[in-house]
Amino acid sequence: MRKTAFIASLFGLSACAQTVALPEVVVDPQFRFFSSTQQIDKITDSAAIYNRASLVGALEFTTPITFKQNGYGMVASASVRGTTAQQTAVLWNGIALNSVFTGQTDFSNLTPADYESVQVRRGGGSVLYGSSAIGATVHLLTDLNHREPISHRVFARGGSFDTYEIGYKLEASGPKTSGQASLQFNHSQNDFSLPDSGRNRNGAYTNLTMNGGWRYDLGRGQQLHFYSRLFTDNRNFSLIDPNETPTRYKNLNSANQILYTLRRTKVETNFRAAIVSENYQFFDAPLDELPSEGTATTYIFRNDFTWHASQRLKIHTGAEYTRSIGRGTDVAEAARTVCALNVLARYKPFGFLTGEFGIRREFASGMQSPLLFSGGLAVNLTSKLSLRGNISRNFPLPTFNDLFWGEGGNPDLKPEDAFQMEIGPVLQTAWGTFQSTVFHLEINDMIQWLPNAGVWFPRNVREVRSKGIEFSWNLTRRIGTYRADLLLNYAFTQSEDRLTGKQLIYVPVHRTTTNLSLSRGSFTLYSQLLNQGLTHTRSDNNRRYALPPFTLMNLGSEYRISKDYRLGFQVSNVADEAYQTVEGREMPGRHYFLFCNLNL
Amino acid sequence: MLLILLWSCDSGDSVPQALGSYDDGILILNEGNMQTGTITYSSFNLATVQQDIFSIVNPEESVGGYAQSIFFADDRAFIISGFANKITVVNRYTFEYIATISDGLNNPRYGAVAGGKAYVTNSAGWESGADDYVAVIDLAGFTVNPPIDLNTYTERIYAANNKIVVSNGYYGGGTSFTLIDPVSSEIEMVDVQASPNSLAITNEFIYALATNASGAHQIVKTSVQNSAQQMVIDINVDSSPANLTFNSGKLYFTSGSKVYVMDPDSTFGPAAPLIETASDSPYIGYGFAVHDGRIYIAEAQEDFVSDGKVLVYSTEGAFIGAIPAGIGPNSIYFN
Repeated sequence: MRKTAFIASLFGLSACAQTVALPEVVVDPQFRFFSSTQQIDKITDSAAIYNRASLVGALEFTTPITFKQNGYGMVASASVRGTTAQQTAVLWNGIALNSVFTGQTDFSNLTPADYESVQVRRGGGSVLYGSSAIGATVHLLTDLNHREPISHRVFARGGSFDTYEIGYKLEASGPKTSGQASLQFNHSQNDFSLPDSGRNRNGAYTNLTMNGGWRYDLGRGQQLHFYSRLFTDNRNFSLIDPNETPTRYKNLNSANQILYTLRRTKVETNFRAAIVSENYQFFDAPLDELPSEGTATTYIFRNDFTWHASQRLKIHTGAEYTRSIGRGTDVAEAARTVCALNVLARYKPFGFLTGEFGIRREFASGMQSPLLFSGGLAVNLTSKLSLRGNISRNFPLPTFNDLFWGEGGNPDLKPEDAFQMEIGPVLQTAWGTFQSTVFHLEINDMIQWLPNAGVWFPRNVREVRSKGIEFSWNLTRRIGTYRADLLLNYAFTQSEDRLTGKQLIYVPVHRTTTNLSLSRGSFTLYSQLLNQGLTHTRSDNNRRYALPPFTLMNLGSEYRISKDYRLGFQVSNVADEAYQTVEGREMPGRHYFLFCNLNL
Repeated sequence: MLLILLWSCDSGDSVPQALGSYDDGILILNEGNMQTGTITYSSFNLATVQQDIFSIVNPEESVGGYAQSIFFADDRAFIISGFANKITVVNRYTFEYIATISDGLNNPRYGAVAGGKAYVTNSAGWESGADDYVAVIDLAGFTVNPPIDLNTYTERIYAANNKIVVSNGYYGGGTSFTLIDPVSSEIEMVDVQASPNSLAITNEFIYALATNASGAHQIVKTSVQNSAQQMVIDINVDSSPANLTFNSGKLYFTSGSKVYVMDPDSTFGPAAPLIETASDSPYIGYGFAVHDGRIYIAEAQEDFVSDGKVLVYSTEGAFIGAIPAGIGPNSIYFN
């Protein structure tokens, strides 16, 4: 009797789709249900953040992620908690985007405006996402739950150094379906003035991103989602010395995913199939007719099964099959298969206590990968104060370049071995939410490229210990008709090579960011501040060559002319500070941009 | 507005002052990184050492990334940057900037001077030796003359016996050296049947330290008068030998962390090393020089992201001291 009523209600739901909102499909159930013991940074759609050409701009002032950029608009790699760019995973609608060759993601290739949700899950996530999820995971989600029959959004931005960007997004929905398609084009001459004199040379870049998604309700709790992404760019590498040989880079990356979801009251299964491909070409001279290049294609099949056993218990199992095939001038044809099985459980024996546990077993061709595990607890000590902590063991796999690179690739590499612990309180007060995390990571068998008889090749020799403390404060306050939002982040990271006792290069010990916005009615004023402390560039920590501390400040404003029309102006690097995040690579001084956003 | 700023407490090194005169001492060229190479100065008694002297004297200029070598003409020093395709000209004693030469260079390596002209080897593309060439620069006005194409690797270059001698070997490729007459522009290529990595030249002979196709190490001794007259001296060492140098009647070379010496008239290689430096860096011997009764051997840090040093010994083999240098010290010169 109850069963028929249940099925009938499902039918009823699908028939009334126009008037009753369907429960949101959870594209990534692991992220949604198994992240209570770690801090999540949700990047909000605010003027300061979403109106950025790339994800670097959206994340550098709002999270403790440190970005190393070879100049403005150039390759940007992320580092968090003293880990490397290979240890920060970027997940696009649940699928990892890190390059098969380098293990990294170039954050300057990702555009926040295409995603409805950009979130950062701090700390380890290997049990959920496998390799690369050590320092943090960045989650990009496309929302396909639109309600309006059709809407258009046009976005344009222009500013200093001949930089302009135009974007168009179409959203449409019908009784059983919803979809979006967007296009974004970016170009910059990037010839900003250098502090000593002269201008940045050979820095021009152009890129095009196409994003799309479509959802179809099959009825009876079943949905089909389709996600697609295409990115192509042509980027010149800035010169340090005017007589250097100009080089440039071209990329073509795509990702396509089809997701089938079946939901019942207590269980849910998500099956997805995806193809992710990357293609790069590097021209080492302007007329280079034989650029070095590489292509890699990854096929992913994954099934996530979630059982909401009771109010207190959720169990999840996942099975994933990934096959990567790469080849190019520097990597002879190489392939790798990784099969992974994981089981996660979330148990709330009492209302105030949540425990999350998981294990994962990976089978990677030619590699021994032991059992990965993670366990965490979140306790509500009072209604305002809670404590959470977790420990995990992860085994990042070597990248294709590490294994198969031309002369130096080392096919005998083992996975790295990372163990991490973190604990910290969350306090809600009338003056906002305070969160803090103390973390400790030990990474053994870390891969390091070292020379031997003139040839550089990677070995599992490094041992790193990273410990520190993160602190964040998030406050929203209304004073009369004014509204103030403040987000403050501070990270203290002591990440050292255990064999030499020295701080790792490009890991700043202190990093503070502040985001403050003030709005009243249709007008918003915002300021962003980044203070990065002394950053070493030499493995012996010779202070002579360290990047000096710098402070970067942006000021901007946005005016909502109407519900559908927004106009804004930003001054970046207000203090015209000369700074570098990579030795020798200058970043621009004071510059401006104007943006406008139109909804039709 | 609540802004929290954290200023890291940097004790700050005091700004170094130029010494005014960098004569009577040792100049070490440090390869550096992509941003810039540097030059270290040390007095002969090793008591006064100053790092990065070029930037101290010329804060507005840069020598360019991956500095390869320096060559000298009268009182000027010419610093070659391979990555930045340029040569920075300075006064060798005050280190004041004079000019930059950038035309006609493509991955420049080494230079030698004869008849008022500089001959600079260029690697161009790294894939083959066929595109290597020797650039010719008139030192009066730094004008570029037509280059000399040898159709093979051009690496080390020396001026001796009124000729320019170019070694055509590069890490196992190429098997000859070439003699160029700077006056008549005549070219003579001498095959040594092995890939030379360094040459030592006396009035009578050209010694090429080389490794042949079977991996055997040898010194091929060619007569200056008659290049058909050649002799092969076998060198029995464990690691590939390099840095062949002639000084005060003796031949020196390095092999791994050891320094060897031999008589130039000898028909066989040295039996035992003169010096065992006990260095465990794979980059000991990255630079080498013998001068005025002393042997200087450079040790680069293997990760190339931190400073190296130059070890100093007497020609009898006694350790004298170490000079701290920069990243990848690759050559040593004397003022």
